Amino acid sequence: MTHTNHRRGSRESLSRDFVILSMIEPTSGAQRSYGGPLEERVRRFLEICGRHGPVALAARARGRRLRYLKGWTEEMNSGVHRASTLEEVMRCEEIEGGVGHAVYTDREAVIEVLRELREADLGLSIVVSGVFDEVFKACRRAGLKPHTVNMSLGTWGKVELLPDETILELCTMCGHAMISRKLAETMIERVAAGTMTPEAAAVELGKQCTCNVFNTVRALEIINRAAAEMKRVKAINI
Amino acid sequence: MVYVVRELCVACGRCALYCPVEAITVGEYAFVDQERCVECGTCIRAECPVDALRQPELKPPRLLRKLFSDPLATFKETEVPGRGTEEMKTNDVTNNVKFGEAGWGVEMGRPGVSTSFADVEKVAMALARHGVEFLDLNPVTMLIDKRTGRFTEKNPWGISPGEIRALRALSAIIEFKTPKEKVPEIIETLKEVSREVDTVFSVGIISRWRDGEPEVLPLLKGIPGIRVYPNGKHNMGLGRPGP
Repeated sequence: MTHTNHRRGSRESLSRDFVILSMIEPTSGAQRSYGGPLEERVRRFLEICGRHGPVALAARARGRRLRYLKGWTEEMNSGVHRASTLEEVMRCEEIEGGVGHAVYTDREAVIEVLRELREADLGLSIVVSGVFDEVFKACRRAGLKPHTVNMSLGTWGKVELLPDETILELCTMCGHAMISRKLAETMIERVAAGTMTPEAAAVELGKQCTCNVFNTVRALEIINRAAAEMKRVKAINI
Repeated sequence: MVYVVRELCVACGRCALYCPVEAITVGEYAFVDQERCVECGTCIRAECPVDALRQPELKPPRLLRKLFSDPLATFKETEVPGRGTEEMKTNDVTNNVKFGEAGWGVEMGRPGVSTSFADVEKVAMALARHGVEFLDLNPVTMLIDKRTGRFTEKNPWGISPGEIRALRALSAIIEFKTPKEKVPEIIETLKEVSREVDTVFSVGIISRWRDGEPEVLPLLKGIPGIRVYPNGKHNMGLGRPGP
């Protein structure tokens, strides 16, 4: 599960895209029991993350996943994809395991979250994905320094099989590749044609990312940019 | 395996739109190419308007497609959902990747292209020739002979190497570590084998943090044609009790 490591996009776009993850090592009894019940500590993690304006917040509850995603409302639910409110995720009483996710666009929010997590000393392993120097600045201001770093060296092999860069920017926001290129292309086409709002298109893509690490705010920018380009090209060709 | 009940299907194309590997085609009804399908579950979750999709319980070897491809499936052997591995996310507790070492994640099929396991084996064998240390708590490692990188029948599912090679997955992560001095030769090997596979792979390199930067970064900077992307993952060292 390295699902936030290879997000694609310009440095400028990626610098507004941070994912914070909590996890524990399943075989480490000491980490599991450090500082009290695990579920209480994950709830505290979610509560801290939830107070700083996340774009997304997710928790694993008994038998289901609780998913808050900015812009996702109940009427957009489909199949197993069900929206939760921010409060529902923050106050979940049925937390299971040590995993929680939060997504931000704002470095200042990440700094505050990290500062509070450091002070809370929850014992959970915390991983932040984002542009290196942005995250390093956040670390410094939160009084932390990274323990270990995972760097992306990009994609190798038959790269001609990949979709174009704009589609990759959208699809790689789900590292498990649950967002099909066809769906991403169709969402852009519908927005360009005026049959769908960009907000709804961003949420439809984000719903497929079952880990809920999709950044709908960033997606909105990408979709709007791509739809505008599509309309411009179409106008030229008429 | 996922299939379509023809009598119910109205050929709306919704399942095909959501399928990440383009395994579904739609004519008079939707059809799932079972060789191409990786059992990721996305079509099922997309909510067929007439409930025409079925996914019966899977058994090995077919089950392996799902375990590698569906983030809602969990490898019982590692207890980690997704692709069954934690790589550096708990390195502050496990210290799997130490100072002086480079950790590697070679993600076959990512992003979104999918991979055959024949290609997974090809890359694993190329790496094994350099004496890399494959990480134990990883689903690909459980399928291979760690000395040679070849698939072995001694795996938790008891499936044959031939059956493993015939599998496909949305992605499969080959995880290993090496002394940091081996970084240039591993990169050279990955470059060579990248020309022999019928898919893509994404490469991640894991390093401890030393003196204000990742320990292996200076090594990477000296390798022609290697680009370190501006974004990555950072373990904050807050896991307790760490080493």
